[in-house]
Amino acid sequence: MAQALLVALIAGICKIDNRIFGMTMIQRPLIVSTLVGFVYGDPVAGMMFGAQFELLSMGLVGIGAHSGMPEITLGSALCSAFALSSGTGLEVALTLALPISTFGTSIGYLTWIPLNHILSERSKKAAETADTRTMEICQWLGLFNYFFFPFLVVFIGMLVGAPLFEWLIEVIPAFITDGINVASGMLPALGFALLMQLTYTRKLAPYLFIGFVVVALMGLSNVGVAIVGAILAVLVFNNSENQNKEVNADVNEI
Amino acid sequence: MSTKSETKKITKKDLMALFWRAFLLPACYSMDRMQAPGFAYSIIPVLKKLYGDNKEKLAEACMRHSEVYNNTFACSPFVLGIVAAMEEEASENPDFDVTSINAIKVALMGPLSGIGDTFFWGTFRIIGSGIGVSLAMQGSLLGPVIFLIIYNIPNFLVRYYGVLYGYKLGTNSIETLVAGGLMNRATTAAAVMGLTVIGGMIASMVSLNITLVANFGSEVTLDVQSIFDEICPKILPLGLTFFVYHLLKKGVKPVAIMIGIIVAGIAGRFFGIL
Repeated sequence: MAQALLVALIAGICKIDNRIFGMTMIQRPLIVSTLVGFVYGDPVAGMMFGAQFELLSMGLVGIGAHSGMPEITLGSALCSAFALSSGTGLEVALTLALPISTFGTSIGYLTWIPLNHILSERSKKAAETADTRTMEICQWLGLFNYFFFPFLVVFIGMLVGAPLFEWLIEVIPAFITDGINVASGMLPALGFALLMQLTYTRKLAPYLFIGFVVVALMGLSNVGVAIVGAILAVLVFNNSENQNKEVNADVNEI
Repeated sequence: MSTKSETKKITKKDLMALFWRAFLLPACYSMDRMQAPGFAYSIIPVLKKLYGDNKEKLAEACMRHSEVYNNTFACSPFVLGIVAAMEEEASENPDFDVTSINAIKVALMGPLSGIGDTFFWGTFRIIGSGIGVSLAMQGSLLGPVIFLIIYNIPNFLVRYYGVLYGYKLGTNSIETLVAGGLMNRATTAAAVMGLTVIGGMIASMVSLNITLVANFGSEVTLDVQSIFDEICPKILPLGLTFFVYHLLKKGVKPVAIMIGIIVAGIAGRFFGIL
């Protein structure tokens, strides 16, 4: 019970990352699950779960009008707690994390999203009379909704879900968990593919391949490839200036 | 901007109020006007200072900022700085066209969230989580810490200097930013860095190995994986990622792809291929 409460608290606090802390990324699975790990006295095991879910969900980001984004903060809190409290079933928990996160989105549509819309309408009405006090209260109430409902949902999820999860692990045959283990190696491909949708173009493709080659063939670490990427970015930035100048020069000549 | 230097009402302290309030900016989200309530909330201290004694003008300004607004969170302090400068000018100059304030806000939303998302979601976060995850996989609790540090240094710098720089730029902001295609160049550079790191992480983080060893009778076996490794190590993860990317572009839902991968993993294991 106390653990369920703590996990729910972590989920609620990490969920308002965007809403009060300035999007520090404590909402991401790597952080959420490590914190959940502390609740169960095994932060490293929590972190291991978080790292895998982080890879899987790398491309699931809240960008622009990209609505219906899976609630991965809630999913990672719940599923890492399931994995840690059962002691086994890391792969099963990982498999469940994305569907549970997707389900979490519908809860958002039923609770904080409509409630905050009502608050925002109230705030607009207050603006008409320059009632800044009410506008400020609406803003803080909005924050409360973003915290409270995820907290509540995870708390209920912990009480209901944990026994279900234990049962699930017992009934799933070994060849399936082995298979899921193999799949969890492949699943990060989904994360990266989702991410590529954000910036990948045919023109920029060579840079992705440079990154691939320096790691696959030359064995560079992630820090190494980040440095290579930074150098390439500076080169591209500088060269694009030259191009602009050349274009301008051409125009002048004409 | 010449009028501003004569009577400067907005102080550094007011700008810092904007900086702090911007953290709460996305807390009340409207389905149609998006982050508008938060923008109004954040700009209140400046409006009160400029129009405090004039209730009518204050209400007008509050309503002005309750109109649609949406942006990458880290870019909002910059917009708040610009708007503060414009409101200051509007409060002094009765001829100032106040509709230009919202026009500038709307004009900045698109390009700024484009550049902001590329930098923050597509580059800083990828580098931070890439390094953080690989440390975490080795069992080091530094992983999550490094992730937060790498991501948040640029995050907080952009927020802090954004509000100061935005105020300084004031109404000249759009021309300065768009001139010379600076924003486009920076976005492309950020995309290059992000993609390079993604390429590297496909090689280091995705694992797909064929365990099948074909047996052609007496002592003649063929290790399928070694052939792929001979061609290029990690070529299967690369192929898989591009295949998934292709599916996403065709409109296949991520959850469906995920289920597909899990089924493939179980089937592959069952038949001894993977």
